[in-house]
Amino acid sequence: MADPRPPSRWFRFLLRLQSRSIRREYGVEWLETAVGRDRAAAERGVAAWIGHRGKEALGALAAAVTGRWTTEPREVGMLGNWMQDVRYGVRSLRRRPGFVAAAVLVLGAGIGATTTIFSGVHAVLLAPLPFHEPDRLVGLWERNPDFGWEQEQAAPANVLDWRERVEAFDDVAAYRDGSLGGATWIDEAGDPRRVATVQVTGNLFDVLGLRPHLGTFPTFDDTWSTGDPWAVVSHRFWTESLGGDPDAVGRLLDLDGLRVRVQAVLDPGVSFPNDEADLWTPYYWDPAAVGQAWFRRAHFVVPVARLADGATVEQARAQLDAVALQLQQEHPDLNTNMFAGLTPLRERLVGHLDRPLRTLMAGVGLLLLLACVNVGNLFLVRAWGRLDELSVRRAVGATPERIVGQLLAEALLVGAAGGVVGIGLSVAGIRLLTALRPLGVAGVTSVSLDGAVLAFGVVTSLGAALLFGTLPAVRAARGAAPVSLAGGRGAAARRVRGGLGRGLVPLQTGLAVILVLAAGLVTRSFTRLQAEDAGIEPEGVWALELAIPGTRYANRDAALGFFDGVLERIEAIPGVERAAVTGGVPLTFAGWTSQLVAREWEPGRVAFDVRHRAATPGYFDVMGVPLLEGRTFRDGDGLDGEPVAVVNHTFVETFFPGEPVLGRLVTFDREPTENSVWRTIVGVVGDERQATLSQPPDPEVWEPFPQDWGLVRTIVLKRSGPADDLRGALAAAVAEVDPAVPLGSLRSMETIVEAASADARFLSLLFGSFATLALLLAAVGIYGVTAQVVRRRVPEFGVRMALGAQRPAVVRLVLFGALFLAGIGVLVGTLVALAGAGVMESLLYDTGSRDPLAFVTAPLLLLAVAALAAWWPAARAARVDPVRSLRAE
Amino acid sequence: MAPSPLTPLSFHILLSLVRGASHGYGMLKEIEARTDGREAPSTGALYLALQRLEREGLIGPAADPPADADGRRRYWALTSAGRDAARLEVERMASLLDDEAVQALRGGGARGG
Repeated sequence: MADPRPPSRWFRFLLRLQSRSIRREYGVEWLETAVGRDRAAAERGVAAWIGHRGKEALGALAAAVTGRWTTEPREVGMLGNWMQDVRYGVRSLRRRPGFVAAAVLVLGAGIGATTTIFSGVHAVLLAPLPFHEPDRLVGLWERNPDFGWEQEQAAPANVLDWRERVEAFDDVAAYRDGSLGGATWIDEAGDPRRVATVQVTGNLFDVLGLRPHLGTFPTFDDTWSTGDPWAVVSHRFWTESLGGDPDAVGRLLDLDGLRVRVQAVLDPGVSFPNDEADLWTPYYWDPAAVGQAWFRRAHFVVPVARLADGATVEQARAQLDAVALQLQQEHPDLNTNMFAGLTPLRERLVGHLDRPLRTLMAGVGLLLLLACVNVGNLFLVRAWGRLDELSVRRAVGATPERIVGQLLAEALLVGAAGGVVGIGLSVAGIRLLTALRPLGVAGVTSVSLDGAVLAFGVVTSLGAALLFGTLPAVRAARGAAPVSLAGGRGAAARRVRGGLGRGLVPLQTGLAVILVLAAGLVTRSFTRLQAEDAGIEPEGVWALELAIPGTRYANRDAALGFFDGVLERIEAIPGVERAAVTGGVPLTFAGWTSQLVAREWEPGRVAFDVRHRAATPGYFDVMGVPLLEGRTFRDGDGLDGEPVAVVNHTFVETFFPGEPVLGRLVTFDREPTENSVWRTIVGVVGDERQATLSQPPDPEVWEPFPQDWGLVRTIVLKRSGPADDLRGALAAAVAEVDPAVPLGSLRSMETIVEAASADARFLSLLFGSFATLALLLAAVGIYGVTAQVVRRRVPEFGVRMALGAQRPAVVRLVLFGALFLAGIGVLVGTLVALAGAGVMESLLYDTGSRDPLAFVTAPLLLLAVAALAAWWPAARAARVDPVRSLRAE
Repeated sequence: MAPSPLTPLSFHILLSLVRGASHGYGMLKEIEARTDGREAPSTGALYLALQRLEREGLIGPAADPPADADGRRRYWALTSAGRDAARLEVERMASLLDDEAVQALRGGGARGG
């Protein structure tokens, strides 16, 4: 609630609401007085101060409304009247429970949706990172135009040099990004368990500015293989797996065959780079590696730096640039055209979410606006119905300000109730958001209903109430003149020509058409993404990860023996048709990339970032990857004799378009020597989407498992029939071969394919519900206004029909009137959407933000809804009995 | 003057000017003091009322601001019409006090206290 701004800003705003004459004549003193009172109120304590500010705001608002829009003697009541207004409002609202329920629900839905989305925006984009002075943290990266690299991971040797030479850095740490490593922990009971680990330099925790919950953090010198192995553990791991042992520090964990000492426990909720990590372990770099070429050639660490006291981002950037240039000269062979750069850590971690979240926020804001207009519309329609009541009140002495005050109080009451419902809904919404984790939200911090989000919800509801309450209140105060007592039934109503209500129809349809368009776009994008072929046949295919202790199968024959035994036993499981071993399954960023050289290429030509994975012969069968040319692997490939490789279709298209590819020789050595291993391409297979559905396939080389066995952890199998207790059967099969190898995750490929379009599905679901709600609100709004218009024009229709107008003509009259208003809104809304469509681009896949289909169907849909909503009142107009309506007049 | 009964806020403003010119903040403080803080118009309401009273000729700029006047503030004083209006209102209220029904109410209040 604390307002960091000086009070004068707030009161300047309130003053600005006042009529021009007030501002001109009394502006300076108005401010002086308000600020003086504010200070005095603040001295009486926070509660008094908040109460005072609320009262001042309401008073200023009421004064503004009466001062600007009423011509009668001007005065706003004192606070006592406000309480009276509220009491009167409660009584008056109680008499119309249906109206109140509708208004509260509409508002609650709008506020709930807005608050939920805001909680995500707040957690990801606005709340400070949970680290010490997060503004001083920057993420570092390397860039190389030769390879087309932008913001890539860095080579450790370069990072060490930056750490030494860039003075604007207080310190630099590094971690391994991407999918977490898995380690095997043999717990106290002797059972193997899989834990998620992140490799880091020892100083990462100090660079982030964390405090240990228990123990002390390691330092940079603890990164090397010469020291004793250590682990920093998450609070979750400490409580769930170490039983919250207060003496956990110093305990030895059997981790991948190493005795690892628990060095520190993190605070609850603290994690990095995402909240799935359990253990942080050192890189165990060999100090001798620092001078070796691979240490500067392999780019596999993500550096993060803390700026030195007083150093600016610009200084750091300039120094880093200079150091990168030095390193290019010092290592011309390894660092050719290798540049470095930095971005604030938040941007590095969540920058890609910025646009999508802002777009969502805009969408949900539109929805709230629509809800406000809609409730305003309800109030207006209701005010028409009450004009006679209000006129009576005026006639017996109520000032127009009192009536404005009462109607405003009613609006505020409804707004407050809507806020309560909305915040309640957002609690559920936030839970859903946290569970679904769309767009990788909750990567760094968790989404929660904290003070900021709550304040947002409260301010939004009150703002909404004022938005929808003010105009109808003013209209009603103007319309309800005491004179109407003499004018007979409906005289007052006729004085309000309904211009405002009719103006709200285009506004509502305009807002609705924008939301429907947005929903149309994301839905189209979702269907396109879903139609995208992952290149596999996932039905009945399962992927099992094995957590093989790192040192357990350190030589090839042991590893081959293990996997042969496991595959044989898995294929013996009833229903399993075939099983295979692979370096990773599609859509999971599986596999590694290397540089590649073909025998026939001119010297110096190198292909960068070519993917490579290993597999046993059965893989392509199991996964349903088609063979396009040549053959796939055979038993015995890669064991002895000639090394072979299978490539994917994109590989051929990229490097040998239109040329025969079978029989060509390729190597992963950038500068081939006579010791280089040349692999003969023996086959071409179809493309898999290796990373995501939306990313086109990369060129890829498949190697037979025995040629590249070291990185393999995944078993795939095809099984017909139900999958019940597959895991148990697999565990038994593996345990028969080696009981010390735990199973990792077991996932069906169908789940993996589905998960690949989960974000798109979420967006389409979200915008779909926005759009449905928007259509509903627009329909209610159009219905309400049309019904009111019809009610007011009953005498006119009576005259028309008495003069011979046919009923269909009356229906047409009403229907076209409503459609005309809706049409204006649809047209303007569509044009606005067309102009602003660019913001949607970050959410769309293979769908133009001005997709013609969406831009044709959405307006038509809205017009259809408008026609439907207006039909009922129009039909009622046609049922008017001319005689009776004229007699009533 | 004063064709209609004064509203409570107008009456309070006029009352607070009876003993001399004052500025807006001063009037607020006096109103609060007079009503033991029960009545405290918002700043917005106050200046709206001052504008109306000035336009109706019941108050006007003070001819001779107090010696300790704050240069940034505007001082108002009662016009003769304003003084009349306030007096009329007081008399109207006082005449009410003689009414039997009012007497009965006041008596009941006394018994209750």
